Amino acid sequence: MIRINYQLDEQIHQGDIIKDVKHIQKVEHKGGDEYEITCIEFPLVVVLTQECDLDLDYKARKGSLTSNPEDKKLFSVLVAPVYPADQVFEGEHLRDLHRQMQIMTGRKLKHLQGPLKNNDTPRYYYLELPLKEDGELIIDFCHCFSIDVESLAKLKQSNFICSIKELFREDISLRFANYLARIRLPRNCEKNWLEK
Amino acid sequence: MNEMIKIDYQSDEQIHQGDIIKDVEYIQKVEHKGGDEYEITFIEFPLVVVLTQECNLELDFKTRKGLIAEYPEDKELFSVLVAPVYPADQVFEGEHLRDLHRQMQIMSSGKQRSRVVDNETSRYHFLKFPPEEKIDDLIVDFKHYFSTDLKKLELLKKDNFAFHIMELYREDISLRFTNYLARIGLPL
Repeated sequence: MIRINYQLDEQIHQGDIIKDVKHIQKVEHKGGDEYEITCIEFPLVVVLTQECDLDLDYKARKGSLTSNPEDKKLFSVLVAPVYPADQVFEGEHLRDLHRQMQIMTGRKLKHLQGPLKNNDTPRYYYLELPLKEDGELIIDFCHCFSIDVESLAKLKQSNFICSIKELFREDISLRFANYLARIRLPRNCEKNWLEK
Repeated sequence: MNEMIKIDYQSDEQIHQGDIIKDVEYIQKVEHKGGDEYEITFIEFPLVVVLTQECNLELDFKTRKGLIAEYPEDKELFSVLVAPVYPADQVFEGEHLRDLHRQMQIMSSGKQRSRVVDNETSRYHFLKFPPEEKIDDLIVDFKHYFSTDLKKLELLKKDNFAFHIMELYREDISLRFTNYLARIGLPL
């Protein structure tokens, strides 16, 4: 079980969990004054941007940095969606987008849940939050996206759920970093080596 | 000492980790102003490097091409992670975001500059090119990362592909980026 707090302040923090966050996927110019905006609203996201960067950005925006404040401002905050674990296991967490995701239930596929719950599957982070309901959650690093800092800070005031405490949020960030930094090796490298 | 990176100019339909693409728009925000009126704020970056991991990009591409039979939608990405790449001389002068009226840190001392050139400053990745490429030194600023729509970037790549950073060198960039993201803020 991870530790959380409910202290709400003006600043976005690494590990904040915020609800109903819109990801602007694209804006297409359709001619004249007409634009098509495609966005997806995620019920929950966790902030992955590093705390120092968020802290400096906040101070720069508040005018409390005297030396090169513009240099410390961020363009965006990195977040990842957080889904209910039972929906992820059923492959149903993106049903509103008509996406059938991998099923991890049933006699043949249930074995996939074990490594995921032990946080051995690089793509996911399993969280047990001490919430009254829906405490079992899964972060999907594959679905990470960025969002404007000021828009998220404004949204946080009404949509803040909780903040993951230091050690636990560092663990999430480290696993996300490992996920991003994994090295793609050619599939047939072993075979080529044997042939040589 | 910073080593020269290796690049190639082979472009295909797929977005690859290490692709350098020109004139990429970042949609910063869309604000509803009431009625049918929306205000769209975007920034165009002259150069960006793709940071999303190669396997993820490959699986996404294969999915959309119908080459993955099992749970194809499970492999689709919502966006691609990129970071802006600026001319090194402009970064040293703090002038690389002058179009946005942002005065950035000036690195006037030789020590500051050499730390960046040697990739000892976690925020930046210095790119030095072989002389035959005739490309001025560039700097990736990891702090300015953002995500962009994959399909739109694929379309843009057809006209705006600059070059591709070859394996190993792109892995080095990704590893330094993830180290930048995963650093732990200790109380001062």
